[in-house]
Order: sequence, then structure tokens, then C-alpha cells
Amino acid sequence: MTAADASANATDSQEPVREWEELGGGVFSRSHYRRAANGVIPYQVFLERAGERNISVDRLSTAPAAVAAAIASEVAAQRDPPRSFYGWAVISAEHAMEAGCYVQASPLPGNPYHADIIMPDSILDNREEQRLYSVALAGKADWRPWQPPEMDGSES
Amino acid sequence: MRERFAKLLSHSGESRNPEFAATKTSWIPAFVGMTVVYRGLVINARISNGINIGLTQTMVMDKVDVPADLAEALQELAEVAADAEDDGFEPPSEVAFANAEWLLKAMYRVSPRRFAVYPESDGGIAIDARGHNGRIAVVSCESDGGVLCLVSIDGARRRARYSTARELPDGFIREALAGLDQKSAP
Repeated sequence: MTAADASANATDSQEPVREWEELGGGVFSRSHYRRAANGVIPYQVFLERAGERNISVDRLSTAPAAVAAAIASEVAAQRDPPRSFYGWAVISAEHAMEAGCYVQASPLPGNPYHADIIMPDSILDNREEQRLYSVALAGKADWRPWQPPEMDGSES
Repeated sequence: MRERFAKLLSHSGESRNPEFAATKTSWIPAFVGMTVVYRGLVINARISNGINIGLTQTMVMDKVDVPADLAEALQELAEVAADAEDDGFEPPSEVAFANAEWLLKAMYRVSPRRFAVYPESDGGIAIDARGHNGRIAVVSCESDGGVLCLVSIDGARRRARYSTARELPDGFIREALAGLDQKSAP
């Protein structure tokens, strides 16, 4: 099944996100991947642009892994410049809420498994608070690689 | 890229000098902003006069005397500029790099542990410490020389901002590092 086929097979994705669900933030940065593979998810995985309080994630408990990876790979390829998709920083919806955020299903065309981790309105104009919430999320996240490429030993 | 840089240094014959310049002008674009470790030296490459590459030795490491955790973190710090370039981030500033080096060593003395070091998109450098149950403390060395400490321990989020790293780590950072390992209240 491809990302394009996903919409037709994703009736569950319209349902509200439940506490036990796993939410994956895509890792598209090589340096973030290297740190994540060593057990530390860089907090910037959960940090969007200034003034943006919605953090894009995929509902990994609902999406078939291959489909979620295909969607994420498309997202990576569409970035400017194009990126690689390395895997997900995974956090449960429950932990996201414990970190002070709330979670909302937000299916997109081509990605019915899309959801948002949403920071409180009150911090929208406060970049430092946004970073603090991102740190709290990163602390609770685990790394889930997706077919990681071979590490280039010459760089370390 | 690193091999070419090492080759440049070995050809120069001056790799032990704190200050020297090379005139391999065709290599300049590849090295500007880079930091590499070569024969135990951490070296920054910058344009010094528009033509030459200025190579500045910023710290000397005796690998025998450096604990493994700290050596790994310093190695990550040495690679931050290259990582930032790979990711399309702003290159870390000199003051961010200097503050990160200072704070990494100082925090290690306070709380010996494995710190992760990675670039931030805006030219800063993050020093990231983890504890049990999702506890986390991040010290962000910002491009303008400021420092921001972000802490989340057992659901309590706290932060502190500093205009300079001169007096750090202070009580807030020391308490945060200690809190990473404390047992949770029953």
C-alpha cells in the first residue's frame, strides 16, 4: 500500500486520538538521527517555527508502519532542500498531555494518519516557553528507526 | 572533507602552531566554518583575510586524561559546525562554540554523565542531559552569547536565561543536573 492509497483504508484515523496511542514526529535531519540513535531525541524534533503551536505527528498506532514511512519519506522529499527520512521520535498521547499539550487528529489529504500535538495558546508569543514545552516532549520520546542508512564511520 | 582537511594540515607542517594560515585557496569553500579534530587538536577554520584560511587551535585535548563520556561529548561539539551545515542550519557562532565548550566541561565537573551536543537551527548549540522517567535539562548556548537553560522534571517545567556564560553553571543549573538523578517522590 502506498501513501496515496492510505486515505481509502484509514477509517480509524478520523477517530479522536486516544491516550495510549503512539505519535511519531518524523526525523529528517542527519544530526538529529545520529543523536536519536544514541538515545537522545533532540528537542528541536518537537519544535515548529516561531508562532506555530501545532507540532505535526503521525498516529503510529493506527497507521501501518510501511504506509507511515512512505508518507514521511514523501514529506522528506518535498522539503527544500530535499531530506531523508530516518525514523520517528515516538511519544504517547498521554505523555504529550502530561507535558502540558493536547492532541488532536488532523487528517490531511494524502496523510489520513496525521495529528497535531498542540501547545497552549498562552505560549504562542513566547518562544522560550515553546522551546521549554519541546524539551518536555523530547524527554518523554523514544527513538524508532526506519531502515536507518549505514553510518558513515569516516565522520566520527 | 575531513581527510582533505587533515591533508591540508599535514602539508602545512604547522599543525601544532596555535595560529597559522594556509593558502590552498581552492579549498576555502569546503573548510570555512568547519571545526575538526586532528591529532587531538580541535581546530576551527575561518576566512582570515578573504584569501587565506585562518586555522585557529582552540583547545588541546589529551585524550588519555579525558573521561570517555566527556571525550564523546567534546567530539560531538567538534562536529557541530559540520552537522549544522549538513542540516542547513545557521553555522554556530564563535561565542556559542566557546560557551558550549566551557559549559560542557564545567557541567561535567558538577555532574559527570553523558551529555549530548547538537546544533540548533538558529546558530546555537544545545547541551542535552537526560535522567530517569523523561527528566531532561537542556542548556542552549545561543549565537549572541546568551544562554538559556530549559528543564523538565516530573512534569515541572522551568527555565532560566543568562546574558553571559561567565558565572555558569549557577545554582539553577546545578540543581537541574542534580534533579535528573533524584528519586521520585512516592
